[in-house]
Amino acid sequence: MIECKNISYSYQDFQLNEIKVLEDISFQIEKNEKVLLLGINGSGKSTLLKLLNGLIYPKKGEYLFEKNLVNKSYLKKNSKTFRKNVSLQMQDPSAMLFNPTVYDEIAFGLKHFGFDNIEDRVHHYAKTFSIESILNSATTALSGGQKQKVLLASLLCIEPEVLLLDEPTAHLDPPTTGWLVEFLESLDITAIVSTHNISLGRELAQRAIVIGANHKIVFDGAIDALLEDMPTLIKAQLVHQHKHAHDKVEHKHYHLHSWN
Amino acid sequence: MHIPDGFISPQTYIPATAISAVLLARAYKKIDLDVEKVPFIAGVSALSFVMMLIVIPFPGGTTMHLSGVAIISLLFGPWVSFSAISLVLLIQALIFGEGGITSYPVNILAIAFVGSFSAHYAYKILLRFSQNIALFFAGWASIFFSSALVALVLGIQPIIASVGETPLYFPFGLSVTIPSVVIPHIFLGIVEGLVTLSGVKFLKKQFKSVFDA
Amino acid sequence: MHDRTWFILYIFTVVALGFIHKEWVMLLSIIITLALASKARWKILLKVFIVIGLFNFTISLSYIAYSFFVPVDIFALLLINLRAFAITLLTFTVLHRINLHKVFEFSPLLSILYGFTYAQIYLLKNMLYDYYDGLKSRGATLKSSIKKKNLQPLLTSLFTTMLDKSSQQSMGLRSRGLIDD
Repeated sequence: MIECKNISYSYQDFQLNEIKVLEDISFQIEKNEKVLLLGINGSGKSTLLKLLNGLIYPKKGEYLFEKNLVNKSYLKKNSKTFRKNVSLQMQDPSAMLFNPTVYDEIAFGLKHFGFDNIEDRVHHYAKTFSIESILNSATTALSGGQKQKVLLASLLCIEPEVLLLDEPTAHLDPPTTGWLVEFLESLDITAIVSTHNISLGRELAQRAIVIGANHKIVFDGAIDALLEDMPTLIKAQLVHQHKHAHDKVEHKHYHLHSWN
Repeated sequence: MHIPDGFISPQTYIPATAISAVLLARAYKKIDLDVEKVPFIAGVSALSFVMMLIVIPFPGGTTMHLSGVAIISLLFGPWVSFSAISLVLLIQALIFGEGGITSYPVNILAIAFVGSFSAHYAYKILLRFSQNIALFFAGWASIFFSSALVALVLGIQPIIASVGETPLYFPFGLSVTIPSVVIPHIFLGIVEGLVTLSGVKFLKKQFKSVFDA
Repeated sequence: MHDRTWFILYIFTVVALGFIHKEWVMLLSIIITLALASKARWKILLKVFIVIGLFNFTISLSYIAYSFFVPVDIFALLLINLRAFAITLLTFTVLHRINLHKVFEFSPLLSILYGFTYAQIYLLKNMLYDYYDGLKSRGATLKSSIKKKNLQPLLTSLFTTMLDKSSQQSMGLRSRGLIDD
């Protein structure tokens, strides 16, 4: 369904320096596969998700969606279908919310992509995300976690085929994180979820793609295999070490568990 | 410098509304505003809003608020600056209560329009002498000419809207408003000019890809 | 009533209050507005005092001082202050009751402009106050410390954040299908 062939991406910063973000990225993702995209901050995860959402184009290499080369002219012709089928939740949810109330926000995509029974659908998704009580609130007045839920409801209600999530648990408290992981697991959808929290992994997906600090793919395979591959985890800086005690013996070794 | 509600007569704010509506329509065309440009205008507006909150220390221990209109105008162009600052003044009036709703058209003419364009033209005219002089006077002009218009509008209130000798809106005439509003702003303009001078030079260097294009 | 109807009614009332020169009309308007404000009335009242207090107090006091030298009608101040109070109170009450964003809904352009401007103002304002708090917590005071040296990194981070957020918002609009590719 999704295929990346030797994709590289770089951009110019405000001082006109060329900044490398992705290098020689290749992978394929099948329909209804769920993939965890791992890497430290600044490794290029967000950029890769934007590329897959057709918001930016690779400097080198090709991105194919259902065997179609995604570029400017493809999107010009197929904008509406592509935008309906591939949904991205950006790292900062407030950059994607622009309607007066939560109700309007969820209804926006439904109206835009020509759904019927809009009111029923809005209420259904509001119930799923437990945001019924804030349907009439202004989106600007919400907390980070509420914004995240409103955005996810607004994206999922248009029933996309591919869901791209950029650090979806960043604004969520532990119980909501747990709920979201379970919810995503239950969906029949192709999903690529970026995170640096490897502990989300096993429940959410079977496969992991790891981007290293060098902006290249350093691992692509089963999460279980990744968890046993300590050299790769250390190389991708996905584990940490700190002093602690087991049976009163203080020592230091690499850890997998997340800090939160 | 924002004028609150209750001091400007309808005889003033109704024509001022008409003039600002025409100017805003012109700005809309000049910028060629479409949905794609909205985030940019939103960003410039937010930037002006926050610049107005920045406190500058003043010799003698007091402080003043930066206006930032000249910086915005010189970096983004006077029409973008005019539109963005008009939007800021609306949000300030309605949500934060700074500046009234009836005085809104006068405030946007004085602060957003005269501020942006006096900075723009001061810079253009003085650039032939030196860039530093041009930048400084752009900042100074944005403050001075805005305050002059505010003083003028306030000062004519007793003349155009009184019952006999009794004022109905702002009670003082031009002989009071011109010295009390304009003279302090001659000095405030100096600080604004210095901040504009160093701010614009610094930001142009920092954000080459944005301002050199 | 719809938010937009409220807003139009509000504009009409404000214009009407500008044309009527009767103290009792201003008082009546203040009483009705306070009734409309229901539970929020004390909060709103306090905000009105804070916002117009300084300007109105300065003008009134100067006018009283002025009256010692020039024969003027001192009672003019009553109407002027009541009108300023009535309009400002009405503004805050109406804006407390309605969602201003809804007023702009008739135009998608204005609606998005309002939403994104609000979001960016919120973001940058918090950045600025955090910056001030940071200075304070590191032992510097507001008055002494905002020098050119401090202003430059502040301006850089404000501009960087704004440019970054604007480009994120543009992508957000494209991603959700609002801007055709």
